[in-house]
Amino acid sequence: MKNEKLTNFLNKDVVKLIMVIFCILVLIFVSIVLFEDIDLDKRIIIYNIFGILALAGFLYSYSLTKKNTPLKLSMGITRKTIYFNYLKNTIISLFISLFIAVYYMLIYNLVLYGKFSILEVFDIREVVFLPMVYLVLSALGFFLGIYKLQSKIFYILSVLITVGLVLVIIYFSVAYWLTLVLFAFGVLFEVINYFLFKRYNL
Amino acid sequence: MTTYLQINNLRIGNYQITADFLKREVVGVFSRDPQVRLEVLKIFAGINRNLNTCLYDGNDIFDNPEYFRARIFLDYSHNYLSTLRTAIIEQSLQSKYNLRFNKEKFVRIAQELNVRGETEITHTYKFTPAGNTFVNYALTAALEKAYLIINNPTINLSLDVDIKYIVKAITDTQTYESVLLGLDSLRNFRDKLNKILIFTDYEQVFLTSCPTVVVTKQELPTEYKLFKGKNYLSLNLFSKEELKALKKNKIEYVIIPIFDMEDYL
Repeated sequence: MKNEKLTNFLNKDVVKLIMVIFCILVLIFVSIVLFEDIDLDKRIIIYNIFGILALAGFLYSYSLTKKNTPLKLSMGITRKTIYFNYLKNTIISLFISLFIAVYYMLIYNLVLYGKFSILEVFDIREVVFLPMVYLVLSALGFFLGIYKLQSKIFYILSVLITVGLVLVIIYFSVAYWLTLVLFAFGVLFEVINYFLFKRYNL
Repeated sequence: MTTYLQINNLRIGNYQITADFLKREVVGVFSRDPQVRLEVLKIFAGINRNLNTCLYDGNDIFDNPEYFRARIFLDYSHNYLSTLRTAIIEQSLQSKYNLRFNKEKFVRIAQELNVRGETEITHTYKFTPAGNTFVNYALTAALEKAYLIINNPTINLSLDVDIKYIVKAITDTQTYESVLLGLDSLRNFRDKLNKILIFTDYEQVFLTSCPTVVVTKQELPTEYKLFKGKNYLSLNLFSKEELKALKKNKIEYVIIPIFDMEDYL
């Protein structure tokens, strides 16, 4: 009986999420020391976090509109609910990833320099730019799912986007205006997606 | 009987539908084109847009939360479950779709239909085609919704005893307030439907409870034409005099039960 209660508790999504975040925080803490020893780029974990998140968001939203929506509608979930749940998940993911990035920067400065700051070592433009990339990619995946883009083409596109993202971060400096444009585009894209989602035939 | 679903001039392709669906009624949807059948059911389920032509309690059914709570739409040719473990199914339905699931009913039906005998259990549960239909029916029953919309309800079933079990259960108006079925086979539902919504070859739609059909080798001058091909089928809404006139004009015809239509198509 006790074991069953424990299993039920551990199977709850919120508990799983908290455990995963906790593991991430511990791993970041450990990796800061290791990365410093092997002299790796200090931004690498932040890129990894947002890069993976952006791709996961892209895949998730594509799968949501292409595969999962018909099933959800059959089972009695309305389009409005599906869309607002998607939006809620996107915003939660953004905030969690921002929290992780801020944590990383704080711990980095605290451990290596003894400072409690996030602005002195890291370029804040890049930290804000990456969540905007996530937002736009998530909206793009949602859009492509609505138009039932073939899976093969979608995966090729995913690879191209990943490569493009890495190249932009490595070789181009990120300007504020680009971040603002991405933000405006992301928001507009999500609004357009809402109206398309409400109208498209399955 | 009261109307629960009102259809006013709904257009699907070249078809135009006006019909009232009543509570405690079982209606079958029949079309030679399975895509038309599916498209109609999706609209009746509120999944696709209908341009305000389909009303439930006076409100458009499209994305209508109240209607969505009362109905379930399943296509038995699809695979909805990958396990028979009721705790997992219950948790999944609750967390993903906020649905209540009657475990006892699911287990009872699965046992009566011997679903395990139709299942290959490896790291997942792989159902035979018939087993998949059984499981889908058990799921339908366990969800205990008032309005059922089911496409292909007897797909992949070949044994009479299985077909009778599913058909009897799914057309029980004591259990369900209303049932709409996308018919994969007419004859399986012999005498179990109150009405049939027929999409004809003449771009017309009839919601009929007419029990018989007239089969001829030539097209008849009637507004109730259904299908054409090797035979011509029309609803038997002819008067005795009209039938006599057919004989007089040496037009050979056969009157068949509407549920045998498929044999003449």
